[in-house]
Amino acid sequence: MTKLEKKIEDIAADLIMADLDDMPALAKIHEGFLQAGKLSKSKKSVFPKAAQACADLVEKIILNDVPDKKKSWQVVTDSLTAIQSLVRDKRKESEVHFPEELDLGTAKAKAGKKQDGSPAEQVEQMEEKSSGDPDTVPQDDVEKNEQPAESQQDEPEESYIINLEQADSDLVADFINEAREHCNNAEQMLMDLETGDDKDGSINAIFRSFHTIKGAAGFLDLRPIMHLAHESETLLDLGRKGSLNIEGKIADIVFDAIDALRKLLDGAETALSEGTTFDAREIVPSLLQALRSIISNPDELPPEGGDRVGDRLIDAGLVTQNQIDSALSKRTDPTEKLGETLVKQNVLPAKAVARALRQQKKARQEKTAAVKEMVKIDTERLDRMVDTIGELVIAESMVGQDEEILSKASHKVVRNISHLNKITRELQEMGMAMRLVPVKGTFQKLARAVRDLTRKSGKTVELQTQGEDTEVDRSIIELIGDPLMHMIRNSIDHGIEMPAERVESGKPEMGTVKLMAYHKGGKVYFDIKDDGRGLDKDKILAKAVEKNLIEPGKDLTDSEIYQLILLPGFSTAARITDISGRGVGMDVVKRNIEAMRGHLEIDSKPGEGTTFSMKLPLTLAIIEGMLVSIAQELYIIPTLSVVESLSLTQDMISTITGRDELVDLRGEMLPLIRISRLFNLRPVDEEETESTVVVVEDGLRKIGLVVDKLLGQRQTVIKSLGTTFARQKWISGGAILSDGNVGLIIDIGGVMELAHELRHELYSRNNSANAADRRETTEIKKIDESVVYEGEDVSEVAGTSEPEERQMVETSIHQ
Amino acid sequence: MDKVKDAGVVTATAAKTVEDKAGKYLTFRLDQEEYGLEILKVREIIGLMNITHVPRTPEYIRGVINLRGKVIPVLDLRKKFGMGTTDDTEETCVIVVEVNSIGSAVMMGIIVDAVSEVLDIQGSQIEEAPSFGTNVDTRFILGIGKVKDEVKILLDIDQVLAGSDVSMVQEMGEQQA
Repeated sequence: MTKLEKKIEDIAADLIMADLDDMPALAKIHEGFLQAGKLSKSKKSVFPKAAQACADLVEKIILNDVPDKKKSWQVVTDSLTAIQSLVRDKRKESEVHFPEELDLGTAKAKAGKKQDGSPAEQVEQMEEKSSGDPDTVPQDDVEKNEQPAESQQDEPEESYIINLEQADSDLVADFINEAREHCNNAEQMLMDLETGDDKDGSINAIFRSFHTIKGAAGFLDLRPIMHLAHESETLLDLGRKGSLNIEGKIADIVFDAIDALRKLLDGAETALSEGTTFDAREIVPSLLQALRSIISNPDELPPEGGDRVGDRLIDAGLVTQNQIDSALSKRTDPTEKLGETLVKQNVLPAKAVARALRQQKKARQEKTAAVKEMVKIDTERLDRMVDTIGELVIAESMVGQDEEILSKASHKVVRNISHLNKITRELQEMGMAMRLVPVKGTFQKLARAVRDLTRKSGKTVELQTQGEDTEVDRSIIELIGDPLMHMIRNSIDHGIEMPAERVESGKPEMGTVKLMAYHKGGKVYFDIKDDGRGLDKDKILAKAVEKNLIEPGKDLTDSEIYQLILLPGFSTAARITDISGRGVGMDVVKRNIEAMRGHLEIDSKPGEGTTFSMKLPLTLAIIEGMLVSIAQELYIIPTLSVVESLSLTQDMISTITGRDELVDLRGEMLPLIRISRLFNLRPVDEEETESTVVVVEDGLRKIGLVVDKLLGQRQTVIKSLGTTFARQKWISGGAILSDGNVGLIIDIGGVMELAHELRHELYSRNNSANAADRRETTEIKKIDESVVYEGEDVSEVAGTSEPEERQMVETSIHQ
Repeated sequence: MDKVKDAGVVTATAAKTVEDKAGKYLTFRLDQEEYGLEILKVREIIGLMNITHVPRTPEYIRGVINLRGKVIPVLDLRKKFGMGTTDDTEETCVIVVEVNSIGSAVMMGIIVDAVSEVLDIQGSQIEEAPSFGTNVDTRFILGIGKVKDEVKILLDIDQVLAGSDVSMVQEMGEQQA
């Protein structure tokens, strides 16, 4: 496309997006027409006159100088269509019709020359106006007051405020979402730029992102965003044209611009939801300044950051910096790549260069092969669909496993049922798959943070990622970011040594942190591996003893020692940096991971490095549990907490104070809790000779839960019980069982606490005469006379504490 | 009961005028009496199904059910109002309502003896609730509707279920203990 054609296309795009009240957009269109007119070389063609006439008409619209704005606007639009057929479609002038109102014969030349021919009244008026009539607002001032997008002057303060009172909130919300995506894309492209692959494609993509944001922001009158996007776009444009290298400090500024845009979007979002205005004055002006200074002086900042191939070759000892410099100076074609130069000048054999390039390529992040066509779906709809699929699965199994049907089913019916089952299972898998999200996004954010971190710490660290296409459930993706970030920070801050120290121990100056995600054994793993100094076992042990976290002299395995760093209050950092060292980090990480029903493994080799391995379930929406029946009701105990299950006879159980029961489990005294009593359920048979016990653990404590029957392992969908049961800490949620009923999921910690609470109260209350009483009593929670909890200690109600009387009252209640 | 107000549970519906209360009501039977609740709050009516009991909850909370993939609590209105209990019959059903409990919309089921019909009740047919004479606390009553010589007790279902938040119930209990 020629410059002229491009200009026309730009104007056309602006015309479509602008509306009659949008002053900056109109001014831009005006400017566009003027420039287009200048670009046309031919004096004889009608085009320059048309362009000028359009410019004049637009100017009049701006000045409110037309009787009917809409009509004049239509004239401009029609004229542009005509111009397009002239210029773009190369029609003959005789075939192209300009609207009559454009009045081509009377268009005023920009230079101020008076046209021959009959001046229309309008033209006269315009000329008078432009010759310094003090009442008119001269064109430049118009531009100044109405903040055109292309002016390089400082905008007045109002253009830094985002006020969304008049805005269409749906449009703005959509814009914010899309703009955020564009920012993410631009950032990714910017990082790709640094690794050097397909520079042109990347720069173009970044340019387009800013361009799109600018256009949409202009349309919605979000001026700070528009200005920022515009200046960034201009910068990128220079990069596209080659007058500027987007690297080093300049790349930094573009990163800053993306960050600032994100902040503006956040501010706009808040302004939208709270109905306030957002003041962008802290963010925008300085950045605009920085951007503009680069744009006006592209040569001032020298390109930073050496050619990576060159670095690699130097590192490999194949060339020296001097050789590279001299080769570069002898280079005839400045766009020639360094590798090519070195080979051409016989500094290096092609093989060596090729090898270095290959290694460079391998070390880069993997890109997804093709761009897939995607659709945006409301997550609520998606969730509802997944829920309904779950219902279908249950209903299907109720039919497919129905005794009545199966007993009378013919061969054909059985086949059809089996077919139905197959389809249902497939649907279920697809439903689960739809909730999956690749970790790429999270990895991107981490990569960005690492880049900033390494600068602060003074070390050189490279973050390599692997498996960014690994998908995890939506429920997890939001929760993994923080722990991963913290562990990476740890690695960089404590693990990786300062460059000098690394070189001394024979390691490459640049440290490596590898972030890997993969599926294994039905779980998803996230590994963070650094090649730093590794963990010092002795130091950790000493610190743990010092802080009274363990007893001295206790014998621990290596991995147990490493796990000590996850205890609260632990930190071996000599200094506290603002990155880490406050001793509140790793235990929070551990808690976060456990909240996801995950597990953290730590391994290390002194001098070589440390590996953190995070193991997580594929989804938080599904829980693996052991189905048990207690007093004819079904409960689920999370498999994660189960240690083992036993069958006990009454004689194996010893009691303390006639109430607490214990069992000797291979030397360890295990307290028993009878759930049926704890939950005030009607026990099937109070005195059983044999009990089934499930041994569970919560962190470090172990208890045995007495149940009636074990019914096997289940994978069920976990559902929250809602706020109604928020205080029931002993139930963590409901699971929808295969027969459609709800099974309650027992929260081990909650049960332990409840047992502890009750025991404590009971001891403080009824000390004597309880040996004979085997009924579990609980503290009263009286609300009003008519509502009484089951199994309350009625002695308070009855106002008596005599055992016999109490028993009588209790009996009457429990009827 | 002042403690209830302190807990911030009671929403200011007392100011509703009689005219505001006119509208369509779903009427149902509890024991010998007929009650009504605003049809707009009713999500659906389902037959009695298996209810999973949740341990250590007030008696009037029978448990939870699976409603198309969502787990919702189910209350026994008779128990809530302190009436005696009877066995469930074929007519017993669960009315699923959506109420505003502590700020957000919550779905709950209430067990009633039988569902009657949807009635359009005019403002002229509604009277203020007397402070005595019914089983039900006056906080829960919007008014008394008189339709064709029959008395329907119109319930403010938000109020009725507001106190069902077990956490609040427990808090209240602790305050009084």
